[in-house]
Amino acid sequence: MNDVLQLPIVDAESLPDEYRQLLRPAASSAAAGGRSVGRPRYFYEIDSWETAMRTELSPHFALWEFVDVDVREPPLMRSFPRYVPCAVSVLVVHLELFRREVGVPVRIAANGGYRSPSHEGADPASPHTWGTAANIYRIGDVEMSDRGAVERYADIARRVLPAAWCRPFGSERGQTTDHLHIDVGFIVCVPGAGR
Amino acid sequence: MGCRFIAVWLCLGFLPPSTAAAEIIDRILAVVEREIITLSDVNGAMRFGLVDIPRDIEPNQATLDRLIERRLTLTEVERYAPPEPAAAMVDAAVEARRARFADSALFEAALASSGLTADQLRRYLRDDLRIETYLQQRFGAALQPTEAELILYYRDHPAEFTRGAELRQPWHRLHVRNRFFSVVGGAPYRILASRDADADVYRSVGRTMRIGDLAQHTIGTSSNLAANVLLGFVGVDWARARLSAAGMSGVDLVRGVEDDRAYESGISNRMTANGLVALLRAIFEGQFASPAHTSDMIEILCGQRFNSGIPAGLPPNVRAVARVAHKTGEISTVTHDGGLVFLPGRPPYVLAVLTEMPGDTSNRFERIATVSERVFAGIADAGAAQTSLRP
Repeated sequence: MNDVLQLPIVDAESLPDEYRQLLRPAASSAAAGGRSVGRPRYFYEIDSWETAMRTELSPHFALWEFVDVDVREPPLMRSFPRYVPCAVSVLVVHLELFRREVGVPVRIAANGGYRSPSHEGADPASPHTWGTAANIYRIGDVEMSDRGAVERYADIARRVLPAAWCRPFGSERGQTTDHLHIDVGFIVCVPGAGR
Repeated sequence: MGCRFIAVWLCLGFLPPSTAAAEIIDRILAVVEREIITLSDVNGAMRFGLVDIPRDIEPNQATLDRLIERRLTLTEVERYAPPEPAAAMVDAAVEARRARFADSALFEAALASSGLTADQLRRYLRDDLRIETYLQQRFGAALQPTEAELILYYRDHPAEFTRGAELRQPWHRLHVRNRFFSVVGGAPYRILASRDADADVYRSVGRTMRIGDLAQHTIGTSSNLAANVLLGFVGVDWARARLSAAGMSGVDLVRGVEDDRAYESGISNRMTANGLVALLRAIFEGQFASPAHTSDMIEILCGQRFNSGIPAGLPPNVRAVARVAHKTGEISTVTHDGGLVFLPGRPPYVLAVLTEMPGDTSNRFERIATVSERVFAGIADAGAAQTSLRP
């Protein structure tokens, strides 16, 4: 249990088969560059959309923003209880620093927070499936819809978040044209013994 | 919240002399998050009782304050993207406002004097319902069914939502992303709001909308963005396969809307009048969906907002009782309208009018209406329509 967030922490390896098949906890996965990286095993359990809406992960980011997915996510991953890797808390700390630097609301796109490895059309090797990446479509009144906007805010992110990586602007694989992608790598959080 | 808006007061005295003779259409009273609140908005809100104002407060300023608060709330509503209210609920809200007046003439006069259009009033009341839903979702008890409840309902009622092995899920949500790929070279492209007939869907870019709502925008107000989001989801190949399986010819769907590279390469969607008639007929006959969803499709087509073509050609007494499930299309020199015309006491007839007219664009739909008028007259003369429907 995370007492601050009031969210149960579950070992996904103890979940029923249908969940494990979709979440693939602790499985070894080829990440970017072909490196083998272990998948998240510990997840926050979200019992309802109301809980996701109510739970503030930081002063400016609520849990729902990281689990707002569309029909491309398998039905079980869209129903409740729903699961998000504990490492989302690490991502949020970075986003909060970024938010303070830019001084205006930072909007995370649908499908732009955590996506399960079973999300249709998503790269299962993406850090989104670790819960450590965010796609930002708007910052204040600025849409991330052109090179100038994406590069300006990517520069800010690189300056204030040394551990973060932003996709470059462009239409090639690994690049972006309509959002700012920030990720903090393939982090896996294992809760301390007290939890 | 007050620091998030800039209030600007403009009046004739601030304008340079050269513009003093110009006609003032309206006055901007405030700008909130890049949207303006005009004097007409304030007048309309007061005239139709759209905001509650305590009696001991100066009403103009208090109304403006409420409208500013409301606009800021709507910004949050957009962020949370609550479901679109049902058309019947919006209808009821409009009717409640209309009922405040003794008759329709007074209602219309009030609209005219306040500078509000019927569409603006409807949009205002629709936003009220969205705010209500947002507040319930965000702060109150959840009155909407949850995704889990919807999935359970779907599992318990498969016949309503399946055709063969294919799932129909109009309530499920799709990411509204304004990024598409050209069929020529795969280059990404966007749809410009300035070239789209419907700006509403752009407010949801980055968030999700229900598939059924996207379909309503695609048909009802010809949203190119909604059309491309849906087509991007199902895929051109899938859509072509469905058309082919239904035996459609004369409907050649090859790409999304506004794919300029494809257009420059001579790749365009094409349709013949016969193809459009066959398509509408196949929809009516349920060849594409379950009976429940066929009915939904026809209702969406009946919600068409551009009605100066086929519906306008029906005689007024017929129009009052007819329902026209139709889709218009207009670009460059072409103007089209195709639909199912439902009349009491007889099966519907299908009409497709595809026109190409260079030059003046102002009366194109009038010509379609003329064709519609003559087709109806022919049907009436042939005795196919009820005698009471004759003009």
